[in-house]
Amino acid sequence: MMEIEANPCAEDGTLMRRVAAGDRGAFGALVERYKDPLVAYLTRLAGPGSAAREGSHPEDLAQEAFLRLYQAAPRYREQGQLKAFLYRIATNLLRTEQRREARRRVLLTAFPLHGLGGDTGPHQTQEVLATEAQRQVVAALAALPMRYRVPLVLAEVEGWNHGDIAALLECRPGTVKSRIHRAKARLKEQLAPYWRGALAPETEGSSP
Amino acid sequence: MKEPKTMEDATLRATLRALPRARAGEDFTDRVMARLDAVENESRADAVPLRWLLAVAAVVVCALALSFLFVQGQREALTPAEQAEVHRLLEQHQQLEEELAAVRRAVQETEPVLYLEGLPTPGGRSVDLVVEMPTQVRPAAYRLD
Repeated sequence: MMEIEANPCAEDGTLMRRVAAGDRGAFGALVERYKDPLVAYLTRLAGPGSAAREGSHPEDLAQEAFLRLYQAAPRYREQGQLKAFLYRIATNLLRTEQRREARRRVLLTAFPLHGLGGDTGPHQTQEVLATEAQRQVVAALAALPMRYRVPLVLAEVEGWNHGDIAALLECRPGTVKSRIHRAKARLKEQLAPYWRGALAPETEGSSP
Repeated sequence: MKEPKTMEDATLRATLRALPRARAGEDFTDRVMARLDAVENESRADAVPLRWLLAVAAVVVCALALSFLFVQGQREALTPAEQAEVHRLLEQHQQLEEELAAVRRAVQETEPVLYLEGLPTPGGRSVDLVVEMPTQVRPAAYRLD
């Protein structure tokens, strides 16, 4: 494990200034600070099967996001929103990757090539989901358009406030509220068939 | 008691938060640093040394200058007679420049003198008298006949 020389309690802005000056220890401290939440966020956002896709593995995307953060450090202007800045980079990377994946699927549908298509493979590491209900939730979440999925995951899973989400998405807090409301409505609609079954009793009272 | 027909917000939140939460691998930071090294080494290898950039810039400037001079030369091409005349004028100009420089030197090196010629002496002879004058000397008085 690499040695992180920077003070792990230092403020984000202080660390970023040191990163801009070429301090790799400070960069390592930032990676240590945000790696787990960022990987969790990207995993939830990317949906099921993302771990199997070459180049779009949430860990790969998170690493790329950190590299972009390092390269952007000289241009970064501290406004107390480094986390939003990092998550914006990661979200944009995921969007780009998913568009590329969609194009690839269209091409494979038109010109099927043996051995290149499909999400399954011998090294697939599917997310371990305890119940059928959880699989349904993940599938319903993945079916949401990104403009709804991003604010919903940030608010309901990551616990961000609307102001921070608005900063990340570069839109007004009212827009964030509206998108979250619509996302919830769609999720509820999709999960309605399971509501009286497995979902309700298993998840009641499991809130952190 | 009647069951709710739709899922409540709190339930939905609990459902979402109950999903397994992924974590970064143990060597995540090391791998990020390794990728950073790879990117930096690659960009260093791709970077053109400054001296090469300067050399290329110098060659470009020289090429442009030569092109300009060539075009100017073509535009101002003279007949042999005109070229001879230009040559003669240049030589004359050079000669005049040299003469002018010699005069300037002579003026700077010459001390002001008063040259009195054929002064009578008591023995009935005459002498020439040369008196060196200090600079900025003015006569106290003089008379014009």
